[in-house]
Amino acid sequence: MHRPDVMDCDPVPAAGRGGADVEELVHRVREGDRSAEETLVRRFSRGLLAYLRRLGCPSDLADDVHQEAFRIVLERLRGRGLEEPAGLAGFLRGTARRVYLGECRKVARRRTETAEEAVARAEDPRTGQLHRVLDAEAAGLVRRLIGELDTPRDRQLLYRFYIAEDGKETLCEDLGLSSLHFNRVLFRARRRFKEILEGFAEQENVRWVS
Amino acid sequence: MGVVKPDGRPEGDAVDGSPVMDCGYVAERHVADLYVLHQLTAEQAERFEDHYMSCETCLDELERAEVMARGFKRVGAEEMAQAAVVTAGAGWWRRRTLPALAATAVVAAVALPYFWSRPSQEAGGRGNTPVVFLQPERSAETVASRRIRRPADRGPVVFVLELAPPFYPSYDAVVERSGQRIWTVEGLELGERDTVALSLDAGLLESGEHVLWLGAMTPEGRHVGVGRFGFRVGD
Repeated sequence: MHRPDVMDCDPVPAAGRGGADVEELVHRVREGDRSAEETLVRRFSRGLLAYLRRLGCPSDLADDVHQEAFRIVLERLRGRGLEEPAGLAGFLRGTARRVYLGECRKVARRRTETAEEAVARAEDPRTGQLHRVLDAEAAGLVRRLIGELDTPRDRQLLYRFYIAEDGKETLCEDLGLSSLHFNRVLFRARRRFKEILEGFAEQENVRWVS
Repeated sequence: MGVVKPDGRPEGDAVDGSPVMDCGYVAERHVADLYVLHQLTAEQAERFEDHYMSCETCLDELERAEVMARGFKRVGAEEMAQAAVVTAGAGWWRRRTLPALAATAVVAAVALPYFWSRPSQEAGGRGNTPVVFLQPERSAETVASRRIRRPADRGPVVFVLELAPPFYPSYDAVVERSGQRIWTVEGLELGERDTVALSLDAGLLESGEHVLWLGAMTPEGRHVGVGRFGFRVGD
């Protein structure tokens, strides 16, 4: 069924982009294929950095954690391999998480707090100097988006969704919207913001997320 | 909900009935935005992570969602800061005591005389109060990059100083122009989103380069410099 509102990208099996190609990569790494290792790192590198951001890993530490996680995973794949090669993405995330927690424990030992407390206390990666500048620019782009919205209700929807973090059901009920209308407003806002962001990035030659 | 297949399963569902987390699903259900806003269940988040780990398209969408959410949060914070200044104006008028004012995040030591001397001002607050966000400069040689316009009505200007760890229980600030001290304040406390806020009467801000030096007392009783915040005032 053609869904014109859906982004144009390859559909992916439920298990993530695992499947035969990842299993083949894992097998080739086990066989000593260095080009397979490079392919694997290239394929998962950006996703791993996104996951580390999710964990709250500061950007200056993320590169080290990323490198160490891949080192551990590749060493494992070259050796005894994985029981479920299709689960590589999950194994990589779990490894990165352990490496990051290990770094936090080093800090915790110096500060006599638990690793979990260190993770909770860890600097919000969004509060570094680079991300403060980006926060201000992001706000400018959001204001531009808001200025282009047709109705106050659409503005209210986005404010409450992104700032107050109200759920879809609550917003539909409070604002008298159907599910379809909610999806349409949000999809248009996302698409327009992406256009604004890409235009800005081209102008500034900026990589938004380090 | 969607098209139902002949076997009774909704279209897009895997054999076990769980949704197929593919790019189409991510786009249709705003998954990236819900993920950034922490509104997915743990299981849903894990499925999305499994997917985006190696999907460039959905990683682009995730980064777009991250920037968009950050932008909205920043807009919300700025508007709340402006609203807080208006609200605090009403409180100052009612309380009329310096100790109470000093306890608030927005210091009214300079703004209070302004309110007392302007009986024609409608009691309770003011609008269009400029709120200036400043980040500390890296180098003492850096020319002030933040340019602000002095309000025409000489009302208060709120400065929100964005700080990074380590944080301290109490801060003090000195504002200089051309090397001359024009204002000081002590007893500032860390507020929302790791910021310190202070309010300065615009009458003190003549055109030119200004520097705000922020210091703090450590728990051990030692005074340390926290940051240098430069700005240029113009008409």
